[in-house]
Amino acid sequence: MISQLKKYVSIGLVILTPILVTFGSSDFPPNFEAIEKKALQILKDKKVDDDKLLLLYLMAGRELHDYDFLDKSEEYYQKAIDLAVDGAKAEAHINLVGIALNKNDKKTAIQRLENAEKYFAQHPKEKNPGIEEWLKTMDRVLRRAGQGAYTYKGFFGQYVALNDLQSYIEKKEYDKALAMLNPTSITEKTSPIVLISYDILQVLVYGKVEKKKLKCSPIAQKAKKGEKGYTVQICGILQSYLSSNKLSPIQLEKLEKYLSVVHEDKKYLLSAIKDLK
Amino acid sequence: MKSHYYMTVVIVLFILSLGVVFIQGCDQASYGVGAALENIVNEPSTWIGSASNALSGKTWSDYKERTEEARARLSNDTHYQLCVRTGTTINEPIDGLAGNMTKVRDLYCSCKAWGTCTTENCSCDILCPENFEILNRGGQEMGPTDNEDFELRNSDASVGKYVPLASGGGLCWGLATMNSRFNHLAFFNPKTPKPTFEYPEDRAKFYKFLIEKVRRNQAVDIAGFASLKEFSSDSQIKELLAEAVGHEWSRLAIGVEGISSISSSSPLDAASAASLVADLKYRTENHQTPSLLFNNAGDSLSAHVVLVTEVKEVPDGTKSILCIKDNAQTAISNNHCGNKMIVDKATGEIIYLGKKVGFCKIAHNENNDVVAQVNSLRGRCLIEKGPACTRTLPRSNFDVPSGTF
Repeated sequence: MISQLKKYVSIGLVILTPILVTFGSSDFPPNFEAIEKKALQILKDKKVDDDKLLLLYLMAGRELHDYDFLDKSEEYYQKAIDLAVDGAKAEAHINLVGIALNKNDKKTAIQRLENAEKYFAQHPKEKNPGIEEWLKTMDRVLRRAGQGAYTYKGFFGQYVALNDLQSYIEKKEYDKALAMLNPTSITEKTSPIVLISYDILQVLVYGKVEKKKLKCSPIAQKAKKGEKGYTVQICGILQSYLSSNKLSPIQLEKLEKYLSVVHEDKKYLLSAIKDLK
Repeated sequence: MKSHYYMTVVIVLFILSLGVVFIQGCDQASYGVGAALENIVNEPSTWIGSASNALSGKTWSDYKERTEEARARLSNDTHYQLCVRTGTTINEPIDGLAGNMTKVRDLYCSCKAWGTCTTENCSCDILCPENFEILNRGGQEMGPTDNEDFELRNSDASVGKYVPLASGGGLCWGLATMNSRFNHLAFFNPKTPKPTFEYPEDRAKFYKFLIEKVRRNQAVDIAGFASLKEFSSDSQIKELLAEAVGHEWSRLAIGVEGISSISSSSPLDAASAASLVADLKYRTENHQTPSLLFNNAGDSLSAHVVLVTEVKEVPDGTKSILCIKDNAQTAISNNHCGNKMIVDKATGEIIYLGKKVGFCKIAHNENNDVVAQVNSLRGRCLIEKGPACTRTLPRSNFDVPSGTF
């Protein structure tokens, strides 16, 4: 199916590519809407049939997706799906799920995954092993995160694992989250979210741990005032907690403000920290 | 027949581009765009037939042609690389060889991409060419050293080998892409003081803005840091980088292109491998570090993305060597072709880290990225060269954030 679509790749030039040719990945020029309107009017006037329109919309969606214009890409992929043409819509279904995930909109992603599943059930010939793996992965990420055993292997493995880790923490299944992590491999070069999750989890699960065993301590030592991200701020909270057995309201307030402004999607870490008694 | 299709694409693209240019000044471009659209709608089979000319590939190819044309044109002009500075004369006695050389240097300037000449003695087109030469950044290209590598590493220690979630994001495509973009677009200025902020939120917003510009393939100045390694070692910045890497990974990987990389694990044949190597060689010799998407033969799920920094030949001519920058390996091991793919020319077999490579191709985002980078770097160069050059500046986001925010 994908190779079949590639055959039509140049058609995608029709609606939106004039802008992209000239402006590369810069923001949309102010005249974009005018050109788009004109292009759509021509298509309407010419009474282009739906089979051709499908290809045009798919390619517009793809090019816009490639240039990271996700809102517009979404619009054209949706137009492709809405056409009364049977088949050849796998790309639109797949990329629409991806766009919703990229926007962190899980609710929409789940709806679109359901649509994709229905579509592939009706068009089994458009499936290939890669698409089957993708469907399995999306099911785990969107509907079954942290439920049952899973082998975090291959291309999507780490993505699923990170999603499961977050899910366990959100569900307050801290022991399961901690079991996912291998402390001997966590160093300063480790992904910040993994490193700090490990520190929060070891204090939550083991209770009193030596401050020197916090993986974040060497990082916190180096950070200057005004340069403290969530890793360093959480490290400070954990260190204070290990000293006094209390959470500092001032530190929590600062962290909440920081996460609200910079990393809204990581507020679940704050909820976990507040579970320290 | 193919050439007919190709020509049609070129002509229509040209008309479409004209349409956009016109519309900037007035609204007449609708006519140009409209005419072009009508052509396409009337003869869709022409467009279907020209499948190999996808927009991004086509535009990258345009730059390739421009690069070759410029080289051919300039190689006929023996004076283009060195021009006498305007209004200078030698009227002092020359005191020894060293003094001689200094004076010669003072008298001449370089007339080439990012050259030292002014627009009085070298044209904007040569100083800031709209082709791959602009990617050399005036000799400040970032090479495959660990200083130009992310501190953040990928946790998939090797292709197809699963390591429990421990050492990183496992988001190889995002890491490779963002690493390459920083190498091409970030201008680190260690001597300029870092901006200071009272609140970490403000600092985060500032660097998030810079990182987002790079993610969108825009050139930026980064004050107070000497290298990407140093920049990405800052713990607060590392968090922001990790977020951008994650965003890029999901955009690139959770879609049809990502799926294509796990749908087959059949190795390339000799002709396909030779073609891939030739393409990679051209790109690396033209200041690019292409992202290579591949998996292990017989294990399609083991897909991985690395950057290719150089293509060499073994002395007996039987094999090609692809120098690899791999975010799943240590940054130091990427130095000086420490990680390499070996391509057997006779069979097309590719070996990486002791395993046979299956599916292998240049990642689909590569052409888009290079095209956008050429545009952004050219814009920066034109601004540097002053008003005589900025006349030709295309509309885009070339504003570079200052130290204040």
